[in-house]
Amino acid sequence: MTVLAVEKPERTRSLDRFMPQPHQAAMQVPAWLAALRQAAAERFLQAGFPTIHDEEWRLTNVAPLVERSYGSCKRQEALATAREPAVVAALKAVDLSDANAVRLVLINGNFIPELSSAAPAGVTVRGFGEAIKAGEPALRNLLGKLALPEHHGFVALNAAAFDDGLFIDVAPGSTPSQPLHIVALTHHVAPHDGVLAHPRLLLNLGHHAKLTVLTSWVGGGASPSLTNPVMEAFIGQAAALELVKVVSINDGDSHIASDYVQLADAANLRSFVLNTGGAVVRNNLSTVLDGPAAEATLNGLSLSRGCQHVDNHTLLDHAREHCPSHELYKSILADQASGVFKGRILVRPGAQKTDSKQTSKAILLSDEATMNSQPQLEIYADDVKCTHGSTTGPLNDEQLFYLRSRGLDATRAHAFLTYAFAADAINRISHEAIRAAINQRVVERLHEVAPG
Amino acid sequence: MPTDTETIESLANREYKWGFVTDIEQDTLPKGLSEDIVRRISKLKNEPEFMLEWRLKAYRHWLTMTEPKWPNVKYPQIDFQDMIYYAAPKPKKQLASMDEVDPELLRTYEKLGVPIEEQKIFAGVAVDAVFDSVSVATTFKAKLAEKGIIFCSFSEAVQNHPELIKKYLGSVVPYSDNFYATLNSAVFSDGSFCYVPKGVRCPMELSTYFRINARDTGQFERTLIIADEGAYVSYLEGCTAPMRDENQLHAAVVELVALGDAQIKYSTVQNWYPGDKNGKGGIYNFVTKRGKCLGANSRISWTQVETGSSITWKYPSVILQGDNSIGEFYSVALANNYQQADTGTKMIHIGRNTRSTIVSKGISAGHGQNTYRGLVKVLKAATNARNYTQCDSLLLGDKCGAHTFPYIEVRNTSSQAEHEASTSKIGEDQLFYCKQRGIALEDAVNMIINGFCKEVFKELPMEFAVEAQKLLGVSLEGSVG
Repeated sequence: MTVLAVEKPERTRSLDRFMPQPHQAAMQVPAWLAALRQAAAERFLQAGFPTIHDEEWRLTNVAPLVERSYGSCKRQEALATAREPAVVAALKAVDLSDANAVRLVLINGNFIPELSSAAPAGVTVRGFGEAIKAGEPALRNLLGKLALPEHHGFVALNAAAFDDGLFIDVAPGSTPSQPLHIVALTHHVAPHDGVLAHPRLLLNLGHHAKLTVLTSWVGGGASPSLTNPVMEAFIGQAAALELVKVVSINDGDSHIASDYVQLADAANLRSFVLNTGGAVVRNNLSTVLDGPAAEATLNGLSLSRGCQHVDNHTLLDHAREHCPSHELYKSILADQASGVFKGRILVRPGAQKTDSKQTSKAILLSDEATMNSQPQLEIYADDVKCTHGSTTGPLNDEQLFYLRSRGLDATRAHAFLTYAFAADAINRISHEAIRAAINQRVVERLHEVAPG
Repeated sequence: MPTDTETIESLANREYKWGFVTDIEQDTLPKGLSEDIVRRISKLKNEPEFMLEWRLKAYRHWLTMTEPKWPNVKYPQIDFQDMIYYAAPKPKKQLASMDEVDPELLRTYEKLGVPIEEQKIFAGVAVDAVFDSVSVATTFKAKLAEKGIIFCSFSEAVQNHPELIKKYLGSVVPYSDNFYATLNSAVFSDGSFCYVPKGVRCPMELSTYFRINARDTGQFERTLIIADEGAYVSYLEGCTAPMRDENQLHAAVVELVALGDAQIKYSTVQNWYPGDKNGKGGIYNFVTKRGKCLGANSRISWTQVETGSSITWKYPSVILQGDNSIGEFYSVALANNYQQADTGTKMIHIGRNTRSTIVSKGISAGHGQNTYRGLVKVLKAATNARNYTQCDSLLLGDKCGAHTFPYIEVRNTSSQAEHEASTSKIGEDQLFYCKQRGIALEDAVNMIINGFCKEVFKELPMEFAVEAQKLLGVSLEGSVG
C-alpha cells in the first residue's frame, strides 16, 4: 500500500506535534470556542515559538524547551496522578490551611474538584468544562479578550490546546475573607516523557468586589516538563485583586506564563511573584489600566541558583488618566544563574496625570551570575511623572562593614543584608498570612542560595 | 496676555536659518549604487588598491544585509538606487591656499559662521570643512604639523599616510558592522582624519563642519581620530544642510582610537535641516560613532547637542578595553515638530576598573518623538567596573513622546551599574515661581530648559556651549512657554 502524504514545510510539521489530536478533544466545545481555537492554532502554526531573534525573547532562549518531546495528560490520568505519593507530598508542602485558604487544585491544567475545597459565598469556581456546559455568559465575553494569539507562540498554543482550567467569578460587592489558593501541579509518571501542560485561568471580579488569590506552581518528575499557563483577569469598577504567585517547580522543569490583567475605573491590582524553582521561568505580566484612577502595584522577587534562568517581563499600559502605578522587582542571583527584567511603562496619548515608578534591583552573589535589566518608558502624554531606576551590583561594602563592626561575622552579615534586600519586596504583600508564608519560604530558600 | 499654552505653542515657529542652497558647480556621479560606482569613487579619489578592496568587501557584504527595523522611528522606505553617492564641488584640483577655494563656497561657510577664512583665524579653531562629503579646506595645518599632528581630509590621509589608515580604518567600526556603516564603508567619499602623536597635547580645538548641499545626494563621510599614547585632542563637529522637500540621507562613520593614557573629547552640535513644521523634508541622520579606549588609563568623551535632522538615529559608543579607562556620554537631544530621535550610547566594559558616565537629556515638543536607547554591558573580566546613567526627559505639549529603553547587562559581582530615569513636564510650580518674580513665561521656560541641560552644556567647549544654548532657544521658539 502506498501512503500519499502532502509535503509540508519542515517547520509546520515539527509544530504540528503540539496540536491536540482530534480524538483527544475531550471537551465538547461550542462553536465560538471552536472558532477561537482554530484561529489560534492557525496563528501558532504560522508563527511558531518565539526565538532569540525576537526582541522580546532575545534573552530567553526557549528552543531547548520546545525541541523536546512531551506527553499530554487527560483528566482521568490527572486524577490517577493525584494519588501518587509524590503528588500528595507536594500538595501537603504548599498547604495553606492555616491561612484559612480555599484550596483549588489543578493537575497538568485539569481542575480536580475532588481535591479542592468549596468556594466561599459570592465566588463561583468552575472547571472550564463545567463552565462551558453551564453556558457561563462571562466565559464567552471574556475568554481570549486580553490574551491574543498574536502576542507570541505560547499564548497561541495555549488557546489552541488548553483542555481545562479554572473560571473564577466574584459577584459584585463580594469581599470574601478567605483567600483562594490555587495549587497548580505539573507532574508525570516515570518512565514517560515530561508533560506539556496548558492551564488556562480566567478571573472576573464584579464591581466593588475584593479577592486575594495565591497561585502555587509546583511539581515535576524525572523528565523535564513544561507548563504554559495563560491567565486573564478582569477587575471591575472599584474592585481590588491581590495576586500572589509562587513558582517553585523542580529545577529540571520550565514555566512560561502569560498573565493579563485589565483594570476598570478605580480598580486596584496588587501583584507579587516569587521565583525559586525551575530551569527556565518566564513571567509575562501585561497590565492595562483601562479606567481612570485605577492603580497597579507589581512586585517580584527571584532567588536563583545553579543554572536557573528567570525572566520577568512586565507591561504597564496606562491607557487612561489619573492612574498611579508602582513596580519593584528584586533578584538575588548565585552560581551561574541568569536573570532578566524587562519592564515597559507605556503611557498612551491622553493618559494625563500618570504617576509611575519602576525599580529593578539585583544582587549578584557570584561572578558567574548575570543580570540583564531593561526598564523602559514609552510616553505619549505630557502631564505625567514617570521614573525608573535600576541597580545591579554586589552587597554594599559599607553596610557589611557596619554590621561587622557591630560584632556580626561575615556570613551572618551577608545573610542579614541579603534577607533585608528580599524583605523589602516581601513586605509589599498585603495579605498577612500569605506574607508570612512567603517570608518563611524565602528564608528557607536563602539558606540554599546564600549559605550562612 | 497670552495664556501659557498659547505662548508654549508659539515658541517654536522660527524658520531654519541655514536652509540656503549654494549655487556651486558640482562633480557628481550618476544616481544609483553598483560595484561600478564603488570602483569609480575609488578611482576618482585615486586610492591605493587596499582601499578599493576594502570598499568592495563592504559593498558585497552590504548586498547581503537588510535594513534594521528595530528603532523607534518611522520613515518611508529609502530607495538606495535613487541617490547620488558622490558629489564634489568643482573645480577639483589640489588647493594650495584659501584663495583657491571657490568664493561661493567660502560665502556659504561665512553664512554658516564657520571661521574658515584667514581673517577669522584669530578664532583659534582649526577647521576642516566637508562639503557634500568632500573636504574642501583645512586651516592651521602648518601650525599643527609643527607638533607632529596630522589633521587633514580623509583622502589626503589615504594618499600621504596609508600606513595609519591601513592600521586603524575599520578597527573600531568594521566594514561589516551594520547596514548603514557598511554602506558608508563602500561609498564614503571623504571626511576628516586626525592623528595626535605620543605625548602631544593638541594646542587648539579641531573642528569639522559638514554640509549637504546638492539635491538627492547622500552624505557619507568618515572620520578617524587617533590619539597616540599620552596625547590629548578635543574635536568639534557641526552640521547644516539646505531646506529641501525631499529627505536626504546622512550615513557617516566616526572612529576614535585612544591609546594608553590618551584622551579624546568629541563634541557635536548637529543642526541638519529638520524638515518643516509638517514634517516634510529634512535629513535622515543615521550615523555610527564609536570610540575604543585601547590603552590603559585612556578616556573618550562624547558630548552631543542634537537639535536638527528629521530623524536622528545614532549611538556614540565607547569600548572600554584598557584597564582604568573612562567613557563618557553627555547628550541633549531635541525633537520638535515631527522630528524623531532614537539616540543614546553603548558602553562596553572589558578592562578592569573601567568607568562610564551617561547623562542624557531629552526634550520633546510638538509632535516630536524622542527615544533614549542605551546599552551598558559589563563583561566578566571587567572587575570593579562602574557605571552611572541618568536619563531625563522633558515633555512640552501633549502630542509628543519621550521614551527610555536602557539595556543593562552585568556579568560579574564586583561591578556596579546604576540607572535612573525620569520623565515629566516643566513643573508648574517652577513656572509660577519665576513668573511671580517678574520673569516672562518664555524666559522662564528658556531658563528652566537651560538648567535642565546644564550638566551637558558644561561639557562643551566654550564657543560651542554658547552656540548650543542659542540653538536650543531657537529650535524651541514657539513651542514652549
